[in-house]
Amino acid sequence: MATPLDRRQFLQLAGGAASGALIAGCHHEEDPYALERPEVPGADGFMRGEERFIATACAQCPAGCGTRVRVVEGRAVKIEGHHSSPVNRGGIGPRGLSALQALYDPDRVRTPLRRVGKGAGSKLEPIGWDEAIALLSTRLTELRARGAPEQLAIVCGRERGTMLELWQRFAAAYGTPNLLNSRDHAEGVVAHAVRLMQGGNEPPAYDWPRARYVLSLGSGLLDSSCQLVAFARAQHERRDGSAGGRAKVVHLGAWRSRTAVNADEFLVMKPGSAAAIALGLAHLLVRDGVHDAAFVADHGFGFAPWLDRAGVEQPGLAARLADYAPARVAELTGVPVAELERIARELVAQKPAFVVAGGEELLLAHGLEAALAIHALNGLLGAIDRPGGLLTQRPAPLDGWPEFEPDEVAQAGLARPRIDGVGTARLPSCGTVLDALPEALQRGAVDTLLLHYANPAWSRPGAARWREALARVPFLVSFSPYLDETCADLADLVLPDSSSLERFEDAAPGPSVGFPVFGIAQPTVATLHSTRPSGDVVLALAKAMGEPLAAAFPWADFKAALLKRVVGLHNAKRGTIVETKGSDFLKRLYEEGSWSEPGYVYEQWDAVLTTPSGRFEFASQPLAQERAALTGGAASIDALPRHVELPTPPPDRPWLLLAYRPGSYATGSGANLPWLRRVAPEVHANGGVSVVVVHPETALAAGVGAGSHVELESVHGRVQAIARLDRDVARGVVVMAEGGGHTAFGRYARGRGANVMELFAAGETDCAGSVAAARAAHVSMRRSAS
Amino acid sequence: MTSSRRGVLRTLGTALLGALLPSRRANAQTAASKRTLTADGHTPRWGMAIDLDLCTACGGCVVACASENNLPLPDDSTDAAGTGVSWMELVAPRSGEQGVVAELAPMPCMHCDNPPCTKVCPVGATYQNEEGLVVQIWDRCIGCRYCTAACPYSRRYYNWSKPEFPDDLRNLLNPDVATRPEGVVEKCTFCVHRLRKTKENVRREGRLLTDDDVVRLPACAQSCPASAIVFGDLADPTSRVAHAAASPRASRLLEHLGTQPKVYYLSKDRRRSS
Repeated sequence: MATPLDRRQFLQLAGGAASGALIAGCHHEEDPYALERPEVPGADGFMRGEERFIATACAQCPAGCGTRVRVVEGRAVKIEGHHSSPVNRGGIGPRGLSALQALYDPDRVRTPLRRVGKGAGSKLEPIGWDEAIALLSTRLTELRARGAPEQLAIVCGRERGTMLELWQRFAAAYGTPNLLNSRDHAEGVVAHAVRLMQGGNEPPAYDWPRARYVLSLGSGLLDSSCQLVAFARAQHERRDGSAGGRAKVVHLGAWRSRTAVNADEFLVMKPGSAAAIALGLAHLLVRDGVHDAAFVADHGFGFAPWLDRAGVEQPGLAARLADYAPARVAELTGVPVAELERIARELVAQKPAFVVAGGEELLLAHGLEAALAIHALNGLLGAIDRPGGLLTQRPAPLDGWPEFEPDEVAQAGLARPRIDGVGTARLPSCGTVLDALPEALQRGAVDTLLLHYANPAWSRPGAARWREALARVPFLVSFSPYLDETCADLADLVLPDSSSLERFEDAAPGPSVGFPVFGIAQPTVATLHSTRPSGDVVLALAKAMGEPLAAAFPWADFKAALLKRVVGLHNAKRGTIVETKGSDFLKRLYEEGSWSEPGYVYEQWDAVLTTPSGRFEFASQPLAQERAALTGGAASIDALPRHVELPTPPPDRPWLLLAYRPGSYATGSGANLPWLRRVAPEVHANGGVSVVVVHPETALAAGVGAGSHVELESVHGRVQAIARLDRDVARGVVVMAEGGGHTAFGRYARGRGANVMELFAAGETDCAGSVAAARAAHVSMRRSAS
Repeated sequence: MTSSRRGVLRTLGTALLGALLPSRRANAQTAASKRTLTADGHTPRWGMAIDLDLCTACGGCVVACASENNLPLPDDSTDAAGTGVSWMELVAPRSGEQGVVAELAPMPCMHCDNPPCTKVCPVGATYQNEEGLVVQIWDRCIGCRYCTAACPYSRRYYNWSKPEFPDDLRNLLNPDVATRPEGVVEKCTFCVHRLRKTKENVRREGRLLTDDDVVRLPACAQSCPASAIVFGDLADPTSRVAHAAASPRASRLLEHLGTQPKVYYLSKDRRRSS
């Protein structure tokens, strides 16, 4: 029987309960409205309330915009576009603005990490920087001592700039030919076509302000392109009419993309038919005699029949065009003859005009053919290096680093064949082929793999195969500042890079304005965590490995190495910053954040046409040689662009999958930036389920409706999504955004949407040096339970 | 005769008024000169024009606004419930579009000259200031949400939950703008804090406010890579925003409601109008 409580006992108990409740109430809960915030590193250098604007270059995408970062009491609180940069002229896109969230991401890697244990039970544990660098340098020294430096492979996600140069120098000094650089997006295919026909190694820049007519054949100007801000600004330039009237933009594409929505006209074409359309339009120009015959005669090669190296006559482009009469092209592409005739007329009547290649179209099988055909069409329009046409980005006059002599071990290593097969007959002249790496990893060709700006376990086509292959690498090192999929599950060592707002670097902008531009990124805030700029880590690594490597890297830190190159800009004594004293030059560079030399000089043919013939090669001789080597010197050498039908889908997987980058969300490498959710509804709306878009007839045939939960399945994997219907999508096509399906990469990225890369194959490459065939997946689509 | 009580009071009142009035007038004058900073002393009417022909719907304005004004971070629960806060939002002007990519238009607060929202506020938390901005005092809001119901443009957001800025992400909060607590309504202010700062700078420099000072003043307009958004004084016919508002392409949303919004949209198709 329970004892009844007397008054005193009751009060005691009640008091205890109340004070317990009080204590619970007092439990420290973080107040989001608290005025006092903990000090951040570097805040002591500020007066109370002091704000500074620090000019820097945005590193969030390859566009290289100039920015000003507003720093208040040591905290970076806002990013604005910088007017001094010709790339963005004061504007800035969502990705650039979100660099703040990249800096202050609560899930950043804060110290170097080492994996303890192997397999499922393993985990990452913090270690010190000295220990981490010693660990890696010991391993690399041993590898060299074994005489196998080529077993070091490096994947660098940077396409341009000093950081890439530093890796190249490191690879050369160490003795590995296996530095791979992922340039397998649409712009990489365009760059490859330009290299084959015109020389150089970059996609063209476009002279938007002077153009009066722009034809986009499947391009992703405002979707897949890494130049979103530049193109948005171009939209202003071609539409505000200040340069002599509003330009018209016509887009032909397989689906209603952001580019299509923003164009003046949009026509649906069959996927994989850009080459046929370009050749069909070229046919019409030549038929009517309205192509730029003077350009063809003065600077062209291979329009008429030509003699190859063996002295055999080969057909020219004129002969090839005979196959592309309007009636046939209309049948191949789904674009009516009347429209083709009209567009051909407008291209000539509204000069200056140019044609833009790009988008998912170029990542389908034979995407290179489309890029070649479009570039040939630009040649026939006389748009090469003319006002209102295609420009060739002029390089900034940076200084080189002093030469060095690789030692014997390095020379032997460099002479060994590359693991991606580039340089063999099969892949004679591509840059690098990243998707050949899984196969090389599987056969044990790599001992140590360094990943810089790369997360292949998630971002690569055939992600599952990549994960398998990466698991076989004896020592995997990532420089990622975030715990991405590759770090979380696979890396043996994580050496976290500093944020782009914490370090020195340069921005070598991708082609956008044509004239030389150089942007400098400088630290805007003090380093928050125990991270180090990867450039400094590479230098420390070289130093730790001693001679002969250390001699090739004589700089105290990456900033010193970078400034060594910047001296060239100062010595050039031209452009926007001219100063007699070097210190004054640097001061102004830091203040303005960029250097440029406006005033593009057109028709500098020496700089623009750098093919072996010094001409614009409608029939590309380098391509002829590559293809001859590929076929073992067989008789038919086809160096001319052509239309190739996409493979017929198998009956059980009848739909062609197109994967695109949703605007500024890019590849989803910014999925950890919560602000970007608002700009990628296709990944983040619907409670974080990805969206696929199909034509209503396709949906009917597949038995799905608007809003149905569907499962897409390819040979390689399956993903879940929600179906949306759109009449402006080619029939038989399923369109899905990249960027979803992270399984790691921080709280904001994890578990949102599906990763379309799971549906593609890895490792299928053609001599475009691109993913080419890899991105042509046929899928089945059926209604799924949830 | 002794004056009556009423007479004394009347005299006193007049004298008091007389004493008060001149000083009040003087105060009004200094306040006006502090406020306007325009050449002819007129009070500006701030407005915005968004050229949809230039806009690419990149979303720069949306993120710039979120960054400048400390908007709560989007998350799954708010997205699912439709309770997320985005003062500047990309909306599809044509309803019924099914595809994943639609024509989108940026939509801030319309800062109506005849705002329905201010009229229903029972506590005077929101009002139109003398320069035409529809502003809101967060601390005075009692969260009744009459204004969110009254706004025909759905430009008002109620904070259904406490905004979370975990760990380091609090460092990027803009110290010029207060975060809003749970239970209050918030809205676009046309970046009134930036306007205030610009005026202070102009006053310090001892000059008048120019169109260049304000044309890209709000964070959205400043970030726009396509320069599609212009801001300025609609009462000044020489300003770029007034020029845009006078364009044959210009129109305002739901004009027939009589709200007299001060955000002008310039239609996409130039050929149709010129």
